[in-house]
Amino acid sequence: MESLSQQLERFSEVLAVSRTAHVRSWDPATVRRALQWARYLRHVYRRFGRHAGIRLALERRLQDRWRREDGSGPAAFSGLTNFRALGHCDLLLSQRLLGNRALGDAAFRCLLQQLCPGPGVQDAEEETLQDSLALLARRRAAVHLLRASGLGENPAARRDPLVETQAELLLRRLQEVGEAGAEGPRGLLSGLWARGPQNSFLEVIAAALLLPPSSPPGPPQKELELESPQAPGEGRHELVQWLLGQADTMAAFCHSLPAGLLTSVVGRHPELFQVYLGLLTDWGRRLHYDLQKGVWVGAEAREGPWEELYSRFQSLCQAPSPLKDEALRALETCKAQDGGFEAPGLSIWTDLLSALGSGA
Amino acid sequence: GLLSHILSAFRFDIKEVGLFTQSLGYAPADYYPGLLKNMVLSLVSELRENHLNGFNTQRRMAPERVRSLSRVCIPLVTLPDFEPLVEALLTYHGHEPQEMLWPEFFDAVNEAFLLKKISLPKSAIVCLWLRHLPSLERATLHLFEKLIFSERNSLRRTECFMKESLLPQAACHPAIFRIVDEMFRYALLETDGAPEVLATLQVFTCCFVEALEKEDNQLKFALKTYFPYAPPSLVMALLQHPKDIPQGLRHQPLRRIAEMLRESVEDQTHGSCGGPFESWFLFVHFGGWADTVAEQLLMSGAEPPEALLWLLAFTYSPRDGSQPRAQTMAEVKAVLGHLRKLLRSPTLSARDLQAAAGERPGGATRPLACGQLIRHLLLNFLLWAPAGHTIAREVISHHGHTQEGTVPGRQPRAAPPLPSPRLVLCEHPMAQTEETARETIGFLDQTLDRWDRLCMEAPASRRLARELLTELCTRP
Repeated sequence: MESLSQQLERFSEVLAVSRTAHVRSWDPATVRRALQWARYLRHVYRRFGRHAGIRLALERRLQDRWRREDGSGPAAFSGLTNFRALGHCDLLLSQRLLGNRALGDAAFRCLLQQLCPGPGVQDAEEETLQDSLALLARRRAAVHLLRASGLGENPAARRDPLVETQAELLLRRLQEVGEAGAEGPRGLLSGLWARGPQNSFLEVIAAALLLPPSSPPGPPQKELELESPQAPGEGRHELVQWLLGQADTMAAFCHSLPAGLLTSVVGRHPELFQVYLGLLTDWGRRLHYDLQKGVWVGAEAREGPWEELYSRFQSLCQAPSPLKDEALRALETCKAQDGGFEAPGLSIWTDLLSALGSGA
Repeated sequence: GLLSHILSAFRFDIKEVGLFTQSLGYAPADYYPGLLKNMVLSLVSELRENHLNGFNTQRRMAPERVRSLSRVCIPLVTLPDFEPLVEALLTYHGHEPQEMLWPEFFDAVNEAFLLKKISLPKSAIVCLWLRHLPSLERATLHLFEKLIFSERNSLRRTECFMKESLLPQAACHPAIFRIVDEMFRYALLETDGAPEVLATLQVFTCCFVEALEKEDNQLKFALKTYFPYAPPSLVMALLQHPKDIPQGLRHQPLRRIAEMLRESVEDQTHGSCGGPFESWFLFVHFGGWADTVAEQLLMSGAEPPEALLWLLAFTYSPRDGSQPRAQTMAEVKAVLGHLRKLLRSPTLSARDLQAAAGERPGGATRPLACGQLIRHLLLNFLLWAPAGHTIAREVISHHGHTQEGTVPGRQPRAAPPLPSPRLVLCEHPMAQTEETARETIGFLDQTLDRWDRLCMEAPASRRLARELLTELCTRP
């Protein structure tokens, strides 16, 4: 077991190196050995896939390694983040080497020979590698072809495939780290938040919270039988918990995303709805009435203007109850606390309610 | 060149996704499949919304966008991820009067479907064939190549290929049926009514009728739309399953069919459209009826009914004038008389059979079609007469060596309807060529298949037919 762990460790290093300029020094023999190693580990994956003990031990080892890698910059990523990744580590390795321009000519030729040994030479297993490489290449080419033809994004779409894909991967990863330890998801999310860019991360979070629970995150894998049983939505739960514990992030989430998107998210996750309502009322309290201009303005520039606050309430009121009812009740309560005036310009709640009433 | 293109696919990346995935610890291999799936789904929902929104111009997908989408898909249709998109494009109808999709897109999808590189629901395939005629023609020709012009297939396999081709199911749409049917018509005309083509047409019709019954209880299209030139009552009679009629009563509908056919054939000679070929073409669609005439004649104890004799003669040579047809009918009647006598006799020899079949005044040769008809009768006799069972084996296995020369066993069941260059003399029918052996195999195969469909109880005849079939098929 210990030697297996060590081999895993060493191979992770090989994988990490495979995407750097260090492969310049690789000769054909190195390429062959690295591929043999990958095949061996795939064999390990097949052999121990159902062996819970070994599987868990290896999984832990990989998670530890990934946490250590996390600090050392993206160049050092091995890409082996979980036990399942072992199932296609040969694909991972060949893919990286194929894409690495630093690989010398002789080594590159050897790589091609190894991957495409010609008819009759390969056994069944080699064929799978070649097939998966070809399929992957075709998929990548298809993605680029669609994007190059301007079909990659839909101007009127409510869903952006790029964001949605990132959301699926995020949930998948959350689930994987969640299996290895309770602290995993929190650390992962905080790390991602700190690394930024924060705005696009917020979009990904929103998309993840909206993914239909029925679809298991991530693309379907070939060797399904070895996959861990998916608890649908588990990653989502971690995500909600993390958001609730992060006041700054939650505030940024509620301020920077479009109103309609936020309404859908809080409609799906009632825990977030209460916090969202609280944030909106705080926001309203911080605005004051500019008598000269006749509008509600924020004390600081970063406070959203009245229109943004109004659009959020408006979107909530267009949603089915309980969102609509609770939003209106919150506004009424605030209005009563302010003295229940009906004249405009005295209480923001009165003005919001009358704007919503006339807009509806 | 190509290799570097393939390699370049591994060398570019999408920055925004790439970085995020990397910080999750994933490789591009992990996100590309998902990304492609999402892009495809997004395009599919764009097309669907477009469909639903109708004339709401704001959210409509521009026709140029649809067109360029179909163009981009051409090299990608065989990628499994694209199946939903291909389906959505095929079933998408815009609001433009002319076709929006690239013709090459249809070609690519059709080719992929024929080579089984893509799996699409029937509805999508029907749309493809309705929108792009060359694809339908190509699919029909592909089926012909597979079934008719290649190695001989058993009927069971033919039926499997047929259903797999989706053509009979798609033919529930009359426009598709008419095209496929037209191609069968030409194939029969071009091949002089080759038995293989005929058998394929009958399997097609069988599967088509089955699909039509499954399709909808209240037939969406009137039968008239499928067979516009035929009298509706005749079509109705032919569409009846022989199976639904007790065996002893089957000669009744058959007689009615014969009378109606005769009427329209003889009517047509007075200048109405179509000609005898059209009537014959309609009749031979329905193998369940067409193949049963000889059997009915042989089994009926009474004097052979005139109508059935006419039908048999007509089936085998539809273009005969009334004089030669009357002659054929007389000959058939005579042979039937002999055979019925033999049916009652306890012993039987190959020579007796020859005598029954071969007598012809003045030793004149029969026309080809008539000879085939007679041999067909003899083969039926061998299968049904208890005494025939003992000599059938001898006749079949000694084919080509018996001096008696009856060897009736290798007959084509089928009916070249038109004068054909294949001249086989009844007096020396043992000129056992590869072709006649193949035709005998076809006869036995078809008879067994028909009995299966009719759930016919005839264990001894079945066993014999199956044994003879195996024997002929394994013969070098």
